[in-house]
Amino acid sequence: MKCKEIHTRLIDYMDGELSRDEQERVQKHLQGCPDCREMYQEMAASWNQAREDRISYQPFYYTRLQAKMERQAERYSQHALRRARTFRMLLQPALFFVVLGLGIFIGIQLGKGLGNTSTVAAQTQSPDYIEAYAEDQYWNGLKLEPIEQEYFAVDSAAVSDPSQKTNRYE
Amino acid sequence: MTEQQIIEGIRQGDESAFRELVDQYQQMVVNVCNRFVHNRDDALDLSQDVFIKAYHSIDRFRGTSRISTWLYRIAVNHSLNFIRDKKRRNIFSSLDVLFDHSGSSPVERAADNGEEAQEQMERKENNNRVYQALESLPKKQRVALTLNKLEDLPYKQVAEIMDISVSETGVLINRAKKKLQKKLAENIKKA
Repeated sequence: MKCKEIHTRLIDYMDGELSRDEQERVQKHLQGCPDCREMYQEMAASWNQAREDRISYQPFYYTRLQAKMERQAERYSQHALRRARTFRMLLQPALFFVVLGLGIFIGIQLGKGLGNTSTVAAQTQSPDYIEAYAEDQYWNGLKLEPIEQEYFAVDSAAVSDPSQKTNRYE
Repeated sequence: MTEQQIIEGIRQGDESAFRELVDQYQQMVVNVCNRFVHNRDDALDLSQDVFIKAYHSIDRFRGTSRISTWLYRIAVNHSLNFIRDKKRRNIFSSLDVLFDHSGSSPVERAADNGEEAQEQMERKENNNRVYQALESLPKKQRVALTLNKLEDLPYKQVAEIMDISVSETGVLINRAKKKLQKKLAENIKKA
């Protein structure tokens, strides 16, 4: 086995995770190679140091944890209060603008007149109403034909001067 | 108290059940956080957050896995998020130093903080080589190897914590081990 190969098996060798054959070969190499042996010793020291690096049981851990939880709860309630206050500060102007916009919208709608939903509009658009309106317009706005104008002119003259009265049907 | 009794107790607001959970799993959670952040104070602080999170999300625990697996999962995710946020903070703080023209120059400040820098360098040198090598691994490989090799968890539990298959866990651990050994060997040679 070459030195480079040994270097990639040292952790497994330390933990005894190599096959028996490989374990023996690494061991044999380490016995014969001072550089690799030194490397192994350094690596084993670091590896064991890391494995043994443990924090022991903390007796007042729960008390500290409780205190932290209380602090967090207090902070959370203060935060909620601040949020509610900010919300109120924003809500007032927002409400003002909503009411203003609503007023403008209603104003515009009133300016346009009532929509088709009104009963008056529905009545005026019904075919019966249109027909009645058209008939009324016809009779009221009827212009007299020339012959009718002449007839009415003669008729009115007879009223003012009875001597000129003639029998039209003679 | 059994696991089921602890869970039911916490759900019903029984403080003694929560206390039992914390007492039983305190060391486990603190140490797994420490495996990732390599700082005692940060690990203790993070582990408290893990228990608070577990307390608030106890209703989401379905009981299909063991409590320890669930706590491991929360602890690993929380620690990784902490590392990510810390990296971001460091980037922003270095930018602040770069753009902060008030007071002394960066060189003068560096001279002022000479002692502090010296201490930091020493701490770094004394830091475990294994942790340094672990930090260079991809996130998934790092998690799998840390849980399996440093926390002594079996492949099956690592797979459950990471929510991946057992075979995938094996692949991740083998790759991680190869890279770690290479990196460790490099670090030792450099030293």
